Amino acid sequence: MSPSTKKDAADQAQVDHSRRRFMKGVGTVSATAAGVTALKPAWGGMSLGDALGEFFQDHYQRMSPEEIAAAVSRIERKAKRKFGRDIQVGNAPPIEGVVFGYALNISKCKGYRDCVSACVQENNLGRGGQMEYIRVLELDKGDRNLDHANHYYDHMAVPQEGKEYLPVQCMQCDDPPCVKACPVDATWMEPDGIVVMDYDWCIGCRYCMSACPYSARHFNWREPEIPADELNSDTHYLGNRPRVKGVVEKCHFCIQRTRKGLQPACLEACPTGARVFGNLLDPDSEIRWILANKTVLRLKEDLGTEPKFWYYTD
Amino acid sequence: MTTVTESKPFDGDYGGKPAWRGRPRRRQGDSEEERVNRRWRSVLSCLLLVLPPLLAAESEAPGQKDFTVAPRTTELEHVPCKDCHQYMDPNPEPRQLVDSPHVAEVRHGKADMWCTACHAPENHQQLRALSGLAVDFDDSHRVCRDCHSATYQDWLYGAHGKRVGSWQGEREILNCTACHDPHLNLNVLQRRPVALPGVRAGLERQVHGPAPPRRLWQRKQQAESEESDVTEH
Repeated sequence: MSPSTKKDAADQAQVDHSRRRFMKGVGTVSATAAGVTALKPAWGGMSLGDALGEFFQDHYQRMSPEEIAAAVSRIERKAKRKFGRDIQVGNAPPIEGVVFGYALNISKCKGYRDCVSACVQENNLGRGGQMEYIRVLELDKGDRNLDHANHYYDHMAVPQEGKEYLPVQCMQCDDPPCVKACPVDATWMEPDGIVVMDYDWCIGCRYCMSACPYSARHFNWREPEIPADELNSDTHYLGNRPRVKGVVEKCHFCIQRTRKGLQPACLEACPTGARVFGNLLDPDSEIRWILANKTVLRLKEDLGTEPKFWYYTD
Repeated sequence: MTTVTESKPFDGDYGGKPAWRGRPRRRQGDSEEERVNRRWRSVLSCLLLVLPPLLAAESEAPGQKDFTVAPRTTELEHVPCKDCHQYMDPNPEPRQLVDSPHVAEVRHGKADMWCTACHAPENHQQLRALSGLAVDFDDSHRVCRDCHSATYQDWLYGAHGKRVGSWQGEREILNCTACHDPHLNLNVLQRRPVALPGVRAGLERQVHGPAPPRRLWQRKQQAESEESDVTEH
């Protein structure tokens, strides 16, 4: 039923609960909605095709290359709408014969937290302390109990006398409990050893967060707030592409950088050279030399999750 | 090719000649060709013994991948040194330098060293290792390793120092002097940390005063009563 333009004044004045009046109202509302649709596309600013494509988008590992390409261009259009900037969503596959590992010299870490800020900028994390993948724990010298650690330290100068610093992040376990916990297989381990997330497949149940013994997974309680000019436009589908509220995310060894041969952002930012990154399958790599010649330890090794993140001392 | 011969216990017979005296003599019945072959074999085996150490001296350490060191000369301020030092005689006497554009005193180690311990007095553009080897400023690790051998080993294999660029392929690492100023004590720089972690809403730790009420509506009530207090005064 279409809304009548000719309106009876008497009808208007009189309170009328008739069916005719109700249907008239429905007609008016739908006409208004149609008008708005004509001005601006519906579906949250995206086209109907994009909205349907996003809704029916499959799991990353099940998509064909064409479907992935379509998903990538959808993500790029969405970022363009949200931030007004062109981003490149990469889809680089794992490099053959490479398993990534990390080593960190705890006698060199001085608690400057340069790695934390570099990670936030590189990986498009919400600004203003919304989320950090890396926590630098401050411990009393000689204290090995991580329950006593504090990562909210805010001294005028670090390193503090009598303190030591221990950065923790995702350990990229070789037997990751978070992957076992996920009820929808939204997280898995790639052949190069990186535990990744399909953010579009995550239902936000946060089982993985409670399964992780290292508290390395983080939940987007609200929409990540990133200034458009600080958005890192070099992204990866399984890495630092813009996320939304309600999904879990985690450190991915800067997959957008390391699969191109670059080193992770935390390593590049570290001013003391405490961090070492490399290929565990390459017997000549630095990390293999460290594992063979230094005293190394892994956190919570007794849990059997086989972390690929080692700590060593001078 | 070596032929395996059955060893028999030594019976004290050298065959008329003492075996230790020099190279094997010409054996009766050997052809000229065999003699030449034998000589070449001994020359080659000598070469095989001598060559590997000679080559290894250049490739630093066994099993070590090649690496390049990020250049330092481009970052130095007071170069070329000879601009000033060609008019000065090298003075080996440790002292406090007056009006020096570079460091005024050497505090390296226990401050018992002097410039000429590492800088070559005869060529101001070079360093000098303990062995007398002339070393470019870009290769200063060849001087540092004379004393800091354990750290040098760690640096050589990647446990110390920092790799720049890519994690794969050719290894480019920072030199010792990129981080450490060899003229000063190796004190660790103290500075303010960056990127204070955020605290999720509601979990803020109360630094001053009593903790806020646990329930949201209680907090709201408290805030309202505080507001009314302010308006009354």
